[in-house]
Amino acid sequence: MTPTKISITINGSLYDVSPEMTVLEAARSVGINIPTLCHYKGVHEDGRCRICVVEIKGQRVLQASCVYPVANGMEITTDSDEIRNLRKTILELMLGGHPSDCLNCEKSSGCVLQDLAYEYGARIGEFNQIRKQVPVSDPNPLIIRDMNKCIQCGLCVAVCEDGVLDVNFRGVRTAMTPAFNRCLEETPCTFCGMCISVCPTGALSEKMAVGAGRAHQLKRTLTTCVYCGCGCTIELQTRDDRLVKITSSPENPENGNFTCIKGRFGYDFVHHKERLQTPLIKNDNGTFRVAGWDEALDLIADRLAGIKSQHGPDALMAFSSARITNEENYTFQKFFRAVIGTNNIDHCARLCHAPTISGLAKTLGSASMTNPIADIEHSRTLLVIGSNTTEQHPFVASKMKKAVARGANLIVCDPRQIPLTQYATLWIRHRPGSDAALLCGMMNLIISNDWIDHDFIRNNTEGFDRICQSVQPYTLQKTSLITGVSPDLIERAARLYALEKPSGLYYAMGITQHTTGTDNVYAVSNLCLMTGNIGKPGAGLNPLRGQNNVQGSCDMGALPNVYPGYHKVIDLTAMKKFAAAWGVDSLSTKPGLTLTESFDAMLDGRIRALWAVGENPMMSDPDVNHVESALKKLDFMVVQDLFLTETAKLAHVVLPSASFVEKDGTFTSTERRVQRVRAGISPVGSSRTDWQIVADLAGRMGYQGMGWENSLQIMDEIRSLIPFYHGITYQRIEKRGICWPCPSLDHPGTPLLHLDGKFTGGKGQFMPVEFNEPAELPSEEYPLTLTSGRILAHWHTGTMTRRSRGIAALNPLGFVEINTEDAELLDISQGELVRVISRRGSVDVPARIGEMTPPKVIFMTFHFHEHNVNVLTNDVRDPVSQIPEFKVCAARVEKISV
Amino acid sequence: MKTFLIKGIDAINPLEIESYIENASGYQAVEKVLKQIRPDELIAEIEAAGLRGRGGAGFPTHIKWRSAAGSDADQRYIICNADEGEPGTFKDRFLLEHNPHLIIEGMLISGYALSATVGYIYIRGEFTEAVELIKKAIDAAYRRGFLGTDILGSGFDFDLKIALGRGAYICGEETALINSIEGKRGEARCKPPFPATAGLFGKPTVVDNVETICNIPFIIRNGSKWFSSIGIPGSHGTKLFAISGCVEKPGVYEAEMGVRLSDLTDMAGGIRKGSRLSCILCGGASGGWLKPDSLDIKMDFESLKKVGSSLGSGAVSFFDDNCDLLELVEKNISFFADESCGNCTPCREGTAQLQRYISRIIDGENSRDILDKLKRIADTMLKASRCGLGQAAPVSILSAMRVFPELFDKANGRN
Amino acid sequence: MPEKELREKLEAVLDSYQYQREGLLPALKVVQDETGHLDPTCICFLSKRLRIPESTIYGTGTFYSLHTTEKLGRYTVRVCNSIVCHSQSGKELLDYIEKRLSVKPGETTADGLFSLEEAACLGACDRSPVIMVNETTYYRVTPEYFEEIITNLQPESEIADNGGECR
Ligand SMILES: Cc1cc2nc3c(=O)[nH]c(=O)nc-3n(C[C@H](O)[C@H](O)[C@H](O)COP(=O)(O)O)c2cc1C
Ligand code: SF4
Ligand code: FES
Repeated sequence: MTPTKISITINGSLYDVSPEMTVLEAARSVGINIPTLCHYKGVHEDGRCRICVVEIKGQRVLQASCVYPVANGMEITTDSDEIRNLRKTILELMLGGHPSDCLNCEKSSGCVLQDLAYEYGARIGEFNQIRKQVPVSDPNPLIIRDMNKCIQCGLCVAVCEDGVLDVNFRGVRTAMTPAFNRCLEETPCTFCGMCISVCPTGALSEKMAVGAGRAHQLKRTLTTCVYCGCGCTIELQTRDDRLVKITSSPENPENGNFTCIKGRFGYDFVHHKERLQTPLIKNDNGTFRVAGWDEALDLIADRLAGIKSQHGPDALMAFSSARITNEENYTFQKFFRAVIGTNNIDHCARLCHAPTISGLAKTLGSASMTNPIADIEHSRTLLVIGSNTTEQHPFVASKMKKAVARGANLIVCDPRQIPLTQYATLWIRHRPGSDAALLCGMMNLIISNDWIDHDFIRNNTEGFDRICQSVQPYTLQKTSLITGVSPDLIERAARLYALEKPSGLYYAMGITQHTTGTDNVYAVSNLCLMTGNIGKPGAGLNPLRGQNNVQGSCDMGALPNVYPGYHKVIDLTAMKKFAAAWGVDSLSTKPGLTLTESFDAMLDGRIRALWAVGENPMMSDPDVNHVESALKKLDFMVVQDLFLTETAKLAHVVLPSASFVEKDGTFTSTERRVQRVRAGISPVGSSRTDWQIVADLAGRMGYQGMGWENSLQIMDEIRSLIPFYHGITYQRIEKRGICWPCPSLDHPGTPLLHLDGKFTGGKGQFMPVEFNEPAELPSEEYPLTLTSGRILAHWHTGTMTRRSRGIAALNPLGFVEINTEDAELLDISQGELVRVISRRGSVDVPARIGEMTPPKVIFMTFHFHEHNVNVLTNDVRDPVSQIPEFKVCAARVEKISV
Repeated sequence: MKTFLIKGIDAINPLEIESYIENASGYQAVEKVLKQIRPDELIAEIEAAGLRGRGGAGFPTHIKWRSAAGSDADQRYIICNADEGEPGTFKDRFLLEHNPHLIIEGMLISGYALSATVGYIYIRGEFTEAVELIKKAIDAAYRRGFLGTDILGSGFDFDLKIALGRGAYICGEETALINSIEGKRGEARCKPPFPATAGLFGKPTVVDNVETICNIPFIIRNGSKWFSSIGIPGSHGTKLFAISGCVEKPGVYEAEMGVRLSDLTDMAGGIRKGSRLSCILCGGASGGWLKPDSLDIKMDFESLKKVGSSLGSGAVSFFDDNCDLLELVEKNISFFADESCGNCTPCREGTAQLQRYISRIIDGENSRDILDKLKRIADTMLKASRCGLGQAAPVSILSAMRVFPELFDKANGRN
Repeated sequence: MPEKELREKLEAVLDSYQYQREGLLPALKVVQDETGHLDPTCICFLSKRLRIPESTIYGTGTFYSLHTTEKLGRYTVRVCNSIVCHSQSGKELLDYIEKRLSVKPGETTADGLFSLEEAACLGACDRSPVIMVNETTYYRVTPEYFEEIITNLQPESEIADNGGECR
């Protein structure tokens, strides 16, 4: 048994410390500081720089405290004239090759080396200049690499997850550079910028922030990243009410230093010249004119009231947004329910995880990740299906890569050779749309080999018998035939997932965006339940929610069938509760239209007016030609956004909203963690936060229930109505977010759902599943399968990332991925502009030829309005959840003749 | 004077396993060990013999062995360090080229002591001839059943592999060597953990010098008492000395620990005719300088340490007055600058700085400042470098400053 | 992709180490021997086969002095430049070879035949000065002996055959 405490002497005083500590940790734990340069707990503990050396009695030489373990009775001296002199010499040795341009260095005042040099009186030029100065020449738009200032601490190498940098050469030639000293753009660099965040000197810095301000001149505001559901904490660095740069915030317990390219570099859209600064009203000739807020809001109030009285409240439709805060979503749905009187409100969750909501609500009782992201550390096996995690949930992928490095098994099921396949133990390349068959085949194997968890099934679930029958037809041979995956691979995957537990299952849009979306969700749920991989650390069924606040928007009731907190609108008790809370006599109990259904309703005149906040259906929805004709039929349309998007152009009134850096509130991340959003600058131009706009309008329409002064008051209202948010106050989440459910002020939150198999809805339900082919299969005329998705650097319809200079410069154009084989058949060369045609339209786009997609499959994104895949996608929908089949349609590629 | 390691070595044909078996009682020790001795008894025997490592540090061999044998693990490794790269040292190469089977036998016994079933011989890539010989010898040993599974029917399995150095002196340092076998940069690791607890692939590992390994079969054959009766108290057994420079017969000589330097010089035929001895470097590039009048000194770990030199791996290089001592000092430090692994600041920067300062002195610069800076850097390297390379690099400079202060007079501004 | 023959050689080496990192240095030896340097296409190939980033392979490769980033000539002459050889006529020998080949250490002759490198102690200080030409070591080398060595150099393949041979 190791003792819990040991005694050591530091600088003459006796202390009790944990035997697991290093000397550095022990010293710091008792308030004694030792300088460090190369040390980063858990990331880089290598004792390279030697600045942290201390004297340990009985030892011939000094030891680097950052890596030296304490031992009972150890006598340590952390500071003496001799030690100070050594540290000074070490610093001066580092400075032996250092340029003396602190005057112009970006890092000045935020430079660890500079601070230490000051503290120890170390001077540049004390020793010989022994290095040849090299030009600072990497042409990439985001990262400056000035190797003359590098002190070889090794942190950038340690933190790089893309394998871009490593230590090269030796001795004084040692350099932290890419292979062959290539430029970053010629390497696998994804420009996450983490290397900058750990560099203690000016060797690595942000190119776009040059000259914009020194560390001490910048104001720092902690907030939550707006780009994806990972919910990374970031820091806004502002000066004179302008956003200058974004950095990671190493101390935060969730993502620490981690951000992706979007989080760190996708910020300059904020001050982009095209940002909407004032309301716009459309003239009769179709052009816009600038208007004041009063005029615009009065006009909207007037028109909405008019349409409501003429056609009834259900002729109005609201598109809320997974981009905006909980407080704003809450406000917006409250407005439509309490002021307009309709449940016609929906948002883009419809397009991503609607099947998760409908499916998991049935099987598990709640539709969100069951386990926190940090839990990946505890998994022995990870099964990732239908999720390009590295590009869509970079932080989650980062955890997965670390898990693999520590020895976890990773099974990746994806038709495309997504980046995660590089780390995979098994890569299952199934045919697009054959997910359910694959899963049923695995289940059949697991059942017939008796790899199931009998106790769990007996005690915690219902309906297992049904499932046994339904998967029986999916023999290994049949499954292999449908999916195109070798039987051996299917068997190995089933074995790993079922036996090497705990196994965490992660899925995203590759599962949901199908006409069989809900069935697919049932299938993953069944697999998870029969192996008992739920309710335990390291296990879980984890739908990766896409947008920054898609979880929150659903929680807030921006859905046509539920109030905040998932109370059904058809439930009279719920209706009465909310009516009372909102100060109205009654609310509509008729479920509203979904976003996808609403376009047909616009075409046939049932919907007359639309108010869309932060949504761009003209790019994000399938078959945009159809969307366009629907929107054009509307009597009145309001769009509230940052830019004049493709959708906004069709609006009658456009309202400028404040971006996430200009507002307060909360986002709820994919792991159900409610986190703070804080304003770093005031709203740009005369833009206003979304809740303020809606509340103002409500007032103009005579509603008294939105007299809030700030987002805090809205949160208090939310907490009073949603029991699982009740304990989450701003004060409590000041430093770290809380995962719901959190029913009371002293409740710590619930990162892990269904603990020990106790499901919210009673018992876990098995739901029988049949495999069905996608709606549109390749034909003679359209011989290819087109699948769609996103890329790491861009976000959705590109409104923000394409207006971020660096990101746009690195990723200027869209593309269609074609397999080499098909490209040869069609005589297409790399980068050639080709025409992609489906039954719904055609798009000209450059070809990207390679092995990313298998033969006969092509891939495109919806980031680029110039060649948007949604011109081609099919708007057939899953009958249960109404999600469109983005992931599969039939298409052909043509060479454009000159 | 008793010698045994290389005595009669000419009678052994390194290409023939039979020759080793017949002419040198080869593989008898391993047979005895496998049949009669338990691993813990074996370690006790080595302890009683008082064998200290011949790779340079003189660390008692049994301590490493016992620590590795005692750590809980599913695999352990024994590594023979044949990376001999210390300038002036060539005794391991001699053993490799003249008696490869002795090394194999020593490895077998060491492996058995540690319950290690896999051993490595890490050889400098430049030793192409030795590599070929060792490869052939290992093949022969496999064919004769000395390597592989169930060796001599004892149930003990042992595989012996070869790993090649690719040109890096630092890979002689045990943790750097381990990194190199693992296919990584040969940077020294932070210790603790020591290899005996977490070495190759994270498993308990012992790294022993070629000469150390070669001593093992003799200790087993003749007993610890016999071994400890050779040499002097604290430094038992014999030592191989690599004698080079201005002597009549440079070469590898074996002598008891504690032999006088003058006797060694005589063994090598004395100072070459026509040469006038000007200085002696003991212990290779990391060692210290001796004046020509110190031939009286005893050659063992403690005696040499006392006079600011070191036994090291047993290199003794003689220089005559045709050599420019400062130039030799510069050669030495530039060797370290080239070979520094580049990991830790004091060594990476310090070796390069020292080299620059010595060249500046050679170029005739004079200022007190330079010597102060030299000392400051040297002191920092000695105390704050991560591994033995950085800690040893300034030694020969400091030694030169102490033994031949007049060389630095000019730089001191005194001339 | 490296040429087929080289690729097969590399696969064989990697295979004998079960595609573990341990096989990297043996594979890099093949790359250096066959291509004369750390060839980028080979490194890319090894990176894919071993699933190690190119930067790591390059970083590992460049650590070791027997690997070069510049292409070496057909014959690499390594002259021991440590104290003993240096003081035992090694310095004069190096001067001679530099003049004879008209290159400085680290350079390759214009015809691509010879590269000259300084070597750390080659472990034969009792027979200094020592040089290596490719895999063969030569002892007590004088200018005359050096002339003899280079005139007797045979085509690469034959040299490799009698590798091991020494004086
Ligand atoms: C820079 C450096 C180089 C070394 N080179 C060698 C070497 O070439 N051969 C060797 O046996 N030991 C060398 N050593 C010593 C080893 O680290 C280690 O102590 C030795 O292999 C242990 O074996 P022993 O106990 O049998 O001496 C070196 C140490 C350092 C610090
Ligand atoms: S002392 Fe030199 S060789 Fe040793 S770790 Fe430091 S840099 Fe590397
Ligand atoms: S902080 Fe400990 S060695 Fe760098």
